[in-house]
Amino acid sequence: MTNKALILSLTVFLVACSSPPAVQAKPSAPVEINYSIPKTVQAGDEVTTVIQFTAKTDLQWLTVSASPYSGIELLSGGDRIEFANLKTGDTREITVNIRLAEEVGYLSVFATTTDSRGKTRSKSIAIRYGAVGETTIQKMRPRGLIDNSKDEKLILMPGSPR
Amino acid sequence: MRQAFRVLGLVSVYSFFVACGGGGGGSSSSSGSSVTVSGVVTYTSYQLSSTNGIDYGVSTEKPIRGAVVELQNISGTVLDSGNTSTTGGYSLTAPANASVRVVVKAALGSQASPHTKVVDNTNSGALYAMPVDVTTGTSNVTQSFNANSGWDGASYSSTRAAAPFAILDVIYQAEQMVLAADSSVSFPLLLVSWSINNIPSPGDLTLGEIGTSHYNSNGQLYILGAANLDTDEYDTHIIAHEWGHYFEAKFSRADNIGGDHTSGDILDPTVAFGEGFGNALSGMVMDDPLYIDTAGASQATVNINMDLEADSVLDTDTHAVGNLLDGFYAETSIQEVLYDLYDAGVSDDDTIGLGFTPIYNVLIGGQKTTPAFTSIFSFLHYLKQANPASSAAITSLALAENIGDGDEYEATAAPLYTTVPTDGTIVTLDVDGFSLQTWNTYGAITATNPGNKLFNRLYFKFAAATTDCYTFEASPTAGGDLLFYFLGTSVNLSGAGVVETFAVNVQAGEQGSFAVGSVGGVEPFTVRIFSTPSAC
Repeated sequence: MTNKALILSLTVFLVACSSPPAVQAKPSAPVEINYSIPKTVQAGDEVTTVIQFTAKTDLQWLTVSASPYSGIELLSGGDRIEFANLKTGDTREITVNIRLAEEVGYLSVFATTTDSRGKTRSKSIAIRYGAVGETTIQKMRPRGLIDNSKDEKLILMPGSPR
Repeated sequence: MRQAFRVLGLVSVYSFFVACGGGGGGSSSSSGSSVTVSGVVTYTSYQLSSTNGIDYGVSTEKPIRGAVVELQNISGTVLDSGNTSTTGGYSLTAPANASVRVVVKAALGSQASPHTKVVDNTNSGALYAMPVDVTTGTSNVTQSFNANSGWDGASYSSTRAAAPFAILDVIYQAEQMVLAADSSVSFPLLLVSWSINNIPSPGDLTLGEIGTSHYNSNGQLYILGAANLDTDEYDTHIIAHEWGHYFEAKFSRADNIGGDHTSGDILDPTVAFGEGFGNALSGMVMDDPLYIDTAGASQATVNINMDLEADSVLDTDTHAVGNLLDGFYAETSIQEVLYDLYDAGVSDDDTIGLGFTPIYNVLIGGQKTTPAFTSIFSFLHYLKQANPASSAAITSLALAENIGDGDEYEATAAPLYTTVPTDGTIVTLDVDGFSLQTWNTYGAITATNPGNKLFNRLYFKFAAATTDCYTFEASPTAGGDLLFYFLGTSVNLSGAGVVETFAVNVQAGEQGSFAVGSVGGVEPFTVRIFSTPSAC
């Protein structure tokens, strides 16, 4: 058996036992962002969220902020804050209070790191509040979805004549 | 070692279309009952700034290249089809005196079966397309049109029609680079999921909660589109980076286990190679070493700004644990080595410039069949084998990034793999003499995440003495939950406290490798390989 054959035979054997799919993502900033939110949040609910930022390398500066992205009202917190001189593993946190205005809402969170050489990198995430229901699904559905003669679903976007 | 650092087939079609002209609507004489409808299709693109993100003040209309284009009648029946040319040109035959529709699809490949499609994951996987209605007479018609960005000077206020075609064009360029190295290539199906709903929040992909732009092992690419938060449709290097994961998985072999990563991380070598390769490939595809990731309000923030050509880490910079940041475990080191191997010309800062073809040949050759896990070591080993005249220069380039010379497995001076005999001997110590265990030196091992940092999992290699069916066994010695890895696939057959085993036929003299990790925390263990003729 060749090496390639060995590889193939093992792959076949392992397919049935594999773990969930691995995700290969774009590069990010050296900061980990953690938070927890209640499982059930409904429109009108006010929620306090503590967002933790953990340095993955030594940082001169960590600048963080949060703002409403959609479907929420920011009641307090989220202002831009700078933290200085974090060692690897150090954690800083901010607290934000929001009110969910719709079925689902998102809070934008930004973190900018400046490492010991002055190099900056940023990370942006969104925190979801609420559970998706039919209202949200309908809202996401754009117009222009059609089936053509081959039953292929198309989203038709207008072209601008030149 | 731990002591030191704990298309396409479009050529003929293109030739046909290259002569197609552009310009505004117009007509020319025709004969018979049919006319030609032709023109140029473009999309709005913007310049990226390394400090201010997308520069909406500098826009260009770039050709939509290689895209499937159809001419349909009023009922949607396809009357003619083809692909746009290298200049975005199209030319289709239409009936005279008829109402027809030209539809440009965000798809590459044949009209009947495109191999790359940009679809909306939040809308039943529908394919993006741009139609323009045309009324023909008795003369040929010229009709050019553009996919607008939807940007009104302050916000995205209308349909972002350009976005799917901007993504498609990066993939077109990537495919052209591969085709230049190997014209016989055919591309496996790739679905690229982009939506204005694609937000950097993990959750339900069909709702746009994609976490971040990524390629998953189901062979799909997801791209962010959340305006004022993180959009990637114009971040050309990110598109190319993620396409690189597709290329590595489909044409080469990717043992990359994925996960979060950034510069300064001490990564598992398979992850470091996969991500460093993706970054380097983005520079090759775009012929531009500046990698820019835009984000934020008005897309005016830069998340990441990397110069692939630059030595981004000082040779003396160290990780908090103490080892150098440069090395086989650093994606920045690998991207810089790979890009330096590729590039040449006046801006090149090294003495080697192989171009893409030798890199491609290794990726589809030795790197695909190596008995080792895919890493910079395996890549350089086969690259030097195939390019002996450049071997010394390649070694020198790697050494400058603290990547030692060695074989397909590891550096000679700092071995990574523990050799396991196939005679049933229980191995209790690693190659450095430590008791076998997984480590959280550079990153945590959690209840659900085995980690993707160096030594979160340990590597083993073997050479079979005789042809036989062998059982590979990893035994937790403190009741932990172990994972077997083979070629990027993790295997957790049993559970906590249970011996993990699998059996396979191996030929005499054949080499191979495997890795052992854990979930739930660091775990001590032992391994052995023994003959079990009846198990295969």
